[in-house]
Amino acid sequence: MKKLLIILLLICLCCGCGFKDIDRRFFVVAIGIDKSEKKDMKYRLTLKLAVPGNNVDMGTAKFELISQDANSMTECVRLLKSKLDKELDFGHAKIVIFGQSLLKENIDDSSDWLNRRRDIQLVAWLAAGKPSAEAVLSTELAHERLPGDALLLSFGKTGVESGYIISEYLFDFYRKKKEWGLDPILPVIQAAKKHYTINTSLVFDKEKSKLALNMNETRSINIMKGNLNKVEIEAPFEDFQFYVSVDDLHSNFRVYTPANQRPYAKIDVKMRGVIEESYGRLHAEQLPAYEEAVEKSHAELMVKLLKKLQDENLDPMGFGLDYRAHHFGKVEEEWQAWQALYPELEFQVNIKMKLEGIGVIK
Amino acid sequence: MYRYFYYLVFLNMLANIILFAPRILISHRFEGSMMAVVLSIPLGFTLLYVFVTSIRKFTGLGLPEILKNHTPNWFRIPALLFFITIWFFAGVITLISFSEITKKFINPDISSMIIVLAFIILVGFIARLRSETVLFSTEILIVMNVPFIIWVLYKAVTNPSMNYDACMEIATHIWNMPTWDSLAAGTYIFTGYTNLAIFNRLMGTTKKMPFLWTIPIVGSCVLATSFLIPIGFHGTINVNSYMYPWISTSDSMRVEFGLVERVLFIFIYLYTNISLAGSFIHWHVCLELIKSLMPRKKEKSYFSWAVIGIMGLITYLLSYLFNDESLYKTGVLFLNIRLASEMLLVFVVFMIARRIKR
Repeated sequence: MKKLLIILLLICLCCGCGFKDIDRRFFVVAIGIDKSEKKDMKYRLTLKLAVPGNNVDMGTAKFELISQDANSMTECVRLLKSKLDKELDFGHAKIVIFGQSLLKENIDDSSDWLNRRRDIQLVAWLAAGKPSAEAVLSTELAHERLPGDALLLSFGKTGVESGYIISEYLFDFYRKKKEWGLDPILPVIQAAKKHYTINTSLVFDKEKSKLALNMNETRSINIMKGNLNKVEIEAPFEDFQFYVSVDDLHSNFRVYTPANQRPYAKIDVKMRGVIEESYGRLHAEQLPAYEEAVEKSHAELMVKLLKKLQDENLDPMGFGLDYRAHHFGKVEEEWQAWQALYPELEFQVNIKMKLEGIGVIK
Repeated sequence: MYRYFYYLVFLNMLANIILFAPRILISHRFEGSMMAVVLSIPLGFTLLYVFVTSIRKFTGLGLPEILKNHTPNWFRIPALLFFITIWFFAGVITLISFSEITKKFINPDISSMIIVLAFIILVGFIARLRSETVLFSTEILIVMNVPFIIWVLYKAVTNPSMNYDACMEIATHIWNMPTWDSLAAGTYIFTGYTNLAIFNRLMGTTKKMPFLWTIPIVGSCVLATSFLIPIGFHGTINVNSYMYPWISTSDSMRVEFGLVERVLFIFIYLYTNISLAGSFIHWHVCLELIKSLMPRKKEKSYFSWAVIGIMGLITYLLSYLFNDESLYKTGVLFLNIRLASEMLLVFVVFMIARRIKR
């Protein structure tokens, strides 16, 4: 009797799934947020919905793209829902793209929605879309296996490993937007007809995008932050150029503030690699000279980039945070001291290039 | 049997995440949390050491028996009633806050009342079992979950998104005086030993508890990780904007080749087990203390059913009243009162133990 009662009680709990079934849902795989072109609207939200197919082959990825203009994200979603027959599910949205025009303005409001909603993954990748987020999302790729897959594989070293790709998670962007002494940086996805190009980036201050970095600057940032394992770099030697394929890369940095001396930041980069291509004749016994050529030319590039960021008062490397981490004192005082100090900061980039050889030919 | 003592302590160390301890520490992170963390290790361990060595002098006796033998009724009954309330609320807050988390992150379509009800039934069923059985179920839960929790922690500290500069920045604010809030949150991780008040009945006859020195070491690791990892992930400023810093931290980890890519779900599953184990232990202690106050009929099974039923009903009603903010406030209040009452408990047991020695 007692057991029966217990079972009856438990049955009451089995009132069916709170979930809607999987075939009653649209899975959003990517979210695009643009500035609306309509005068009285703020945003244009574009959602990439996966259309499930029964085989997972190259080029079978189908998707549906829906867009809506409105004054808030919630309103966009609400209006979009009236266009659909199934419930929207944001749990699989792994890519969020901001249109470039939106990023030039304050993006606090639009990113609030992303962070406040509980179902959008904090590990979604963030990027800037050029010319617009909608254009990026509407790109159809011939080799895509799953909808939205190609963009996903581009980030986070899961698929391609390119020195030009900066990967930024949603939570990471959100953290850097608030953190004192560490500024956000986002990759820019350029949409072309049949493919994407991801090789530039945007550096933000606490409100909006401030500075666009070109290919080489993006790569330098990636090297200095140690985001990469593999990267190809070039170096001039005497009257020709040679190219090195780096397959092992470590870096760290530290801000020093010695008394009676200008404060400086020391960035150490350690790389190992082999020479991949050369326009001149190489000699194996001259390896140290080649190493030095790489070290010198890239250190110069990096210092130049850091100076440029310093002039704009941007700090994507996190020197400010490092300064705060090594100083005792009140938060505000530390921060003010750092702000006074940053324009004065000097940069020492020490690259240790270890060349393993000149390749398989002499 | 003494390994069960370590399960009790360890369980509490893990369950601190659900009971707002990291959130409290994080909200005071520039005003003395680090000092609180540093101070709470000796403080918590001293309390633990004094309590354990004192209560071990009464082999096979729980707190109710000790009080009955050595203190007058006017002291015993109010004291026991007070401790009953504390233990009851320890279970209640864990249950309600975990059901809120479940609703938010796993199934927002279902009413949180049904989730609370499911948890109450489960916890109630286990809490009314014999003390041995409760310990055995704790052991199973710990053995099955802790390896995965350690894996999640390992993934967290080796994550490239983990910013050690941010942790260091918080660590450099060590010279601020801690508040009572943060001290209470910090010492909570050692609190598991108080459950000996009942489970001392089963701990065998060895007077000394071996391996007590491991507790401060493990405790400081647990405390440092549960306080600093969210800061490493979400930055020194932004970390304070999360309602559940640890849940959001686990959502910020991505394990590409794991069973589930989103660590959040694994983490919530693990912590469902841990927090349920925590609350059934608290409720079991509560139930046993109530039984000890009853002169007769306490061994009848309908009695414990009735007590569990009332406890469940109160929890159910309370969960209806709480929202996120008031639950947090109650959690903070609970932790603050808990630290004081824990000191009281240790003091009482210590004094009695000293008196019988003379």
